[in-house]
Parts: sequence; C-alpha cells; structure tokens
Amino acid sequence: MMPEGCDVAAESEPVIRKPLFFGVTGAIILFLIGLVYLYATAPPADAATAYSLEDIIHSIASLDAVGIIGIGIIFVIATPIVRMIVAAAYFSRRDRILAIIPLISLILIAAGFLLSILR
Amino acid sequence: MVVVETLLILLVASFFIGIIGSMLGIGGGIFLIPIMTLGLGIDIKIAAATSLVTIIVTSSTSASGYLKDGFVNVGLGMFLEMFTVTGAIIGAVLAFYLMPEFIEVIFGIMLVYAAFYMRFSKDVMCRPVAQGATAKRSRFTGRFYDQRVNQVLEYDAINLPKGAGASFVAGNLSGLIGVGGGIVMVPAMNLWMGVPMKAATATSTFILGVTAVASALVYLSNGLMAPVITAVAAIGIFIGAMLGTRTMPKITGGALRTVFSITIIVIAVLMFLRAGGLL
Repeated sequence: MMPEGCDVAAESEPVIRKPLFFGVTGAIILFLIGLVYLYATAPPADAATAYSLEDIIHSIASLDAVGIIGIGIIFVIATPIVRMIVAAAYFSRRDRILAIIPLISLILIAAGFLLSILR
Repeated sequence: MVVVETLLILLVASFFIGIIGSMLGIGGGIFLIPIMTLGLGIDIKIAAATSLVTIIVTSSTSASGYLKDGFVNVGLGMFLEMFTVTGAIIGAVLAFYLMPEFIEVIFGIMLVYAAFYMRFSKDVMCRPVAQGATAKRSRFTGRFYDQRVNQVLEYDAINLPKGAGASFVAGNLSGLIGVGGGIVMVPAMNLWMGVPMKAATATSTFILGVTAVASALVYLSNGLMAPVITAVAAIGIFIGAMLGTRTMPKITGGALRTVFSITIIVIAVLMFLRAGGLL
C-alpha cells in the first residue's frame, strides 16, 4: 500500500494534464496566426526586437500581429500557473498538504513578479 | 543575416531541441541559447528570455504526455517546485546585475558538468519500497509502468532536503541564464533521491515549466521579450517535444547520452571562447 498522498497524487494526473495540453496548444495556434498576420501586413526588419511589457500590452490592446503573439506568450506563461491552481483546487478536498504546496509556489511567483515590476 | 533565414534556422534548431529536451528531461535552453547567441548573434539576455518561454512549451507538451503515461511523480514535483521557484526568482534578479561574459562562463561550466553527468552516470535501480505498518516511508513514493521491462516499478523518493537544495540551485541557474535547470534536477532526483531515470526525466519536465515561469515573468517585465523569435522557437519546440515524448519510452538512453555529452562539450568550449573575447 502506498503512503497517504501518493495515491491521491497519482489519481490527479488526468486532471492536471488538461490545462497543460490545452494551454500550450492554444498558444501555438496563436503564434501561428500572429506570424502569418505579421508577414501578411508588416514583415519585421529585425527578428530579435525586444518589446517592453507596456509595448506588448499596447499591441494586445490594438490586436496587431505582435499583440496576437503577445497573447500567445501570456498563454504559455499562464499554462503552468493554471496547472498549479487546478492542482490546488483538486487536492483541497483530498490532501491538504498537496493543496498548500502549489499555493506556496504561486505566492512566490506572484511576489517575484511584483518585486520585478516595482524595482 | 536575413530575417527569414534567421527564423528558419531557429525553427529547425528548435524542432531538434524539442525532441532532445523532452527525451532527456531538460528544457532545451542549454542548446537554444548558444545557437541564438553564437549562431544568430542575438543578445544573451533576449536569448535567455526566449529560451524561458520555450522551456515552458517543452515542459507543458512533454509533461502532458508523461502524465498520461504515468511517469510523473506529481507530489514530488510540486514539492520541489517550491525550491526551484525561489531559486529562479533570486537568479533572475541577479541576472540584471551581472556581466553577460560572467553569465556565459557560468553557462559553460554548467555545460561541462552536464556533459560529464550524461556520459558517466548510470540509472539507479528502483528502490524496494519498505513494507509493513511501522516501516518509515517517504510521502513521495511513486509508481509507473516501464514498457521496456514490462513491469510496474515502485520507488521511494528519499533525501528530500538534498533534493530541495538541488532544486534551489537548479532554479537559480534557470533565472540566471535562462535554462530550465533539468540538467541539475534529473541527476539530483536520480542519484540522490532514488527516483528511476524515466520518472526523474518526466518529473523534471513537469517542474521545468513552473521554474521557467518565475524567471520569464521577471524578464518580461524588464522588456527583454522578443515576440517574433519567441513564437518561431516555440512552434519548433512544440512539434519536436511532441515527437520526443512519444519516442522516449521506446529507445535506449546510452547512445543518446554519448552524443549529447559530446555536443554540449563543444558548445561549452565555444561559450568560453566567446566569454574570453576570442570568438
């Protein structure tokens, strides 16, 4: 018999898998749309031009090609975060420790992001 | 270099990196960053930001497949994530205060370490799980079906403090130089924690995404994200990782490890030459 927590963790696999699969697939579709749109409208002069967070948000608001790619990047970054939220929700009724662990990681990520913005 | 040419090279390179990364439990930044900096002349910090996004793609694609196959130790992965995330945030902040040459030397040293690990380490056998009500058991016991030996294997993840320390270091390197940290996580889980290679590889891919998110957000907020190259690299990685995840259970790791170690030694030498201003 496996110790407490192990069976519950193993049973969670199908639930945790879904946000990963759909998140990354959605992002790739957005990247493809954005790149096609970019080359159809205004092909870039430099492929490695970096954008500030404000520029990306502005592009998303105007829904231009870079904005669509920007939404894809946000999709990618959000995928593991959604996976952690789903895990915390799933384990909240089954194993309190396994529910708290992803929440701690989420708080750490949020704190790191806020610090980097405020810095 | 012409933009289309750059993007095509990046797409093809990312495809192969996706295959290798998903099979070895690494994000692929170890290959992608040198290709972008040495091959395509992209600034290392922009390359690191791109790499972090592609690591999340590798992680999400591969972990999705490995979760389906039951290779991932979910509880252990989530536990170690707490430490990789902490290390990643500290590393990503430190990266803005360090010289690119210094980062490249760290990266080169990491590559040499990874090469020796890949070449000379051996897989641990599954630890027999202690039996009986009074036996001391790890909370993070795992179980998976290995089609190569046609058996359900069970193991007990041990040395959690050591694993937590290695996770912090892996996260720190991730934030500092934009790699996933899998080349630290996989040997730490395999050699220190008694997690079999296939489970270590799969659990590492599961962790990589969260680690990379912590660093990627810091790079994003500091204006280092290049959307076009990021999108192209992500597409290549996605297709490669899907293929790699399906291939991993069917092949032996020996030949792949040898090729891997030789390749990254070459890249490490190139990195040292570049950091020393000789390239």
